[in-house]
Amino acid sequence: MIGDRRSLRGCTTCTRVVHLIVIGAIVGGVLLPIIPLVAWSVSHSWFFPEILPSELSGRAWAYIGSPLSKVLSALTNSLLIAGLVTAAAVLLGIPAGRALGLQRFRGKAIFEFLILAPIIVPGLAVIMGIHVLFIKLRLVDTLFGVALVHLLPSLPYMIMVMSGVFANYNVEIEQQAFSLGAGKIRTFVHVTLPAILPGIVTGSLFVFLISWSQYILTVLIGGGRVITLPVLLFAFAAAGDNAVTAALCIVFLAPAVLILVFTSRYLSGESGAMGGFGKL
Amino acid sequence: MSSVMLQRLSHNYSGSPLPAVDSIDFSIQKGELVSLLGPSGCGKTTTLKLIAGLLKPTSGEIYFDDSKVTNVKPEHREAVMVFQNYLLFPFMSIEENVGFGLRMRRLNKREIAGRVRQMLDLMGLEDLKDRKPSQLSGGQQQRAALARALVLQPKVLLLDEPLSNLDAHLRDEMRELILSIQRSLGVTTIFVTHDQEEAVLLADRIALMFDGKIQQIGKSKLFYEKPASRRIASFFGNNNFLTGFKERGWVTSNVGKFRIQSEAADGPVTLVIRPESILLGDQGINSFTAPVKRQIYMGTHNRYRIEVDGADWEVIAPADSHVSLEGGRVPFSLPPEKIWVMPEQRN
Repeated sequence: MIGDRRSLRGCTTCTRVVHLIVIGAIVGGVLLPIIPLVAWSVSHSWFFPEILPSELSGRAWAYIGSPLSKVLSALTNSLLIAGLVTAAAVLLGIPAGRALGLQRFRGKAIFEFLILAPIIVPGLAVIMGIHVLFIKLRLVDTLFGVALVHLLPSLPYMIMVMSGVFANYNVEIEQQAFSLGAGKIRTFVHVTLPAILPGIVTGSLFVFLISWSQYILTVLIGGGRVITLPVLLFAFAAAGDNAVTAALCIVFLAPAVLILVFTSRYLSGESGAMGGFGKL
Repeated sequence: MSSVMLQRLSHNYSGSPLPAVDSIDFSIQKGELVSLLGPSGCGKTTTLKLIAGLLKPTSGEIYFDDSKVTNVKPEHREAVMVFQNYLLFPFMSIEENVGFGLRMRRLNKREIAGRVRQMLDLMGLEDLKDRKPSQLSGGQQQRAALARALVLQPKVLLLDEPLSNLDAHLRDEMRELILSIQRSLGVTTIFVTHDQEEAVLLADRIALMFDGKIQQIGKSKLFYEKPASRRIASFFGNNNFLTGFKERGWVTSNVGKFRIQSEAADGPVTLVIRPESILLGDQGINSFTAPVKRQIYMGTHNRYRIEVDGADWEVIAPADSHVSLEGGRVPFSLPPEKIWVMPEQRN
């Protein structure tokens, strides 16, 4: 069926040309801004009327590669924090999304609003209070504390994605698995998980990237001790060192692009299961 | 295979004031094919899920043979349910779907492969085994779902509306398949349907449910000839009712006095008669006249709509019969042995 649809779609040259233009525009829009970044990162000096940098230099990349720059440890921190946040969001998002997507209960609208609240209310509004609390709990200046506070703006996205997935999910398929002799755990592993996996991947992507690009929450709770890539990036941008800033930007972009490439097959509408495969 | 016994089985969905299943008593013999028949919302699917163990009864017990299974988890109950919309696992091939239950039972690979192949053969699915469910037609999906259940050699096979998602000619084919496989494997089977014709064609016995209660149990003939209530008669397509007062072998009604043969107690009664049992013309006994409102030629028979005591009756007569629709009243007769007499019900 999917194959049929595809062949129908590409049947006239006219639509094919439109497709090429659209795809070209998207790819161009994403890739073009990266070109000046690359140019900046290898330039010695680059001033206004020049189309290309007049003098090239490997200084920025050499600096980033050197242990002095702390780029490697910032990269590790960023990955660790974003990984932790994503794992926590998956663990919390599945049951929360299931409850919101499948159950009807009293006060559900209020719960939904409360879960969305961190997206509506800026994190800064509550971070001072959280800061005080975290000082008492000895969570400030720690990686764990930063990860915890990163959940604030990211978890709502995970729950939203998962509740959408479960809203399209037919629970009877679990009953079918029980009836065929699968216990609860094996039903989850063999039936539920494959059904909701695309949702988990999509939600994780959101969460990972939100945590990855977090600056203010990291600085406030990390207190300058927990250095992540955005923290370094802001420092160099503020210092006006364009070459190092551009090189850091590329390092910052790389994991995001890589993740997108590896998960893209789950993100296309044709993976079908996007919505929990109940009603295809 | 096992016999099944339901004992005062009830189920209340939380938040609902009325029980979905209300104190059902019902026994099914080993190898029997029984239909749970009723309109939608009467509790038949709930009953099926109770037997499968997917819902916990509020009260009552379920026995397979002599052992109580009320508290046995669905995965250990060996009563396999086939859902109305098949619910094949979309990310598994047909072969993997059919083997799912055997894998969950941790059988060795060779045995699984053997049993799956045998079942795919039996169901005519061997050429489709590598396809995904979405690449199959509705009938093929239904066969795969049946294969997935039967390969487990369940004690009880539970089918929820097995034919309702299929179009007419596939339905006949699938009905024959279910019947022949049920006969050859001898698996105790309970199937739920809202279609009385389906139940009549398929089931050894029918249990008719309204409002969470079983109203009448028996062979299909019983529901046509001796319905327990007006509602049951209507459900089986018969709306020829007449109220009257029974005194020994006679019933007095607004239309006239009728001779009957019935064991029912004297008092107010309702008479029921099948459309095809009513005879055209004055046969000398139980005759009355009624205006004919419509005559429809059906090829094999004629169908008349006549007015009796303010209600519409249906009469089925031979194709060569003919009456004049011009205003006049036409004589009809009710053979006494064909009249079913029910004590008058409150509703």
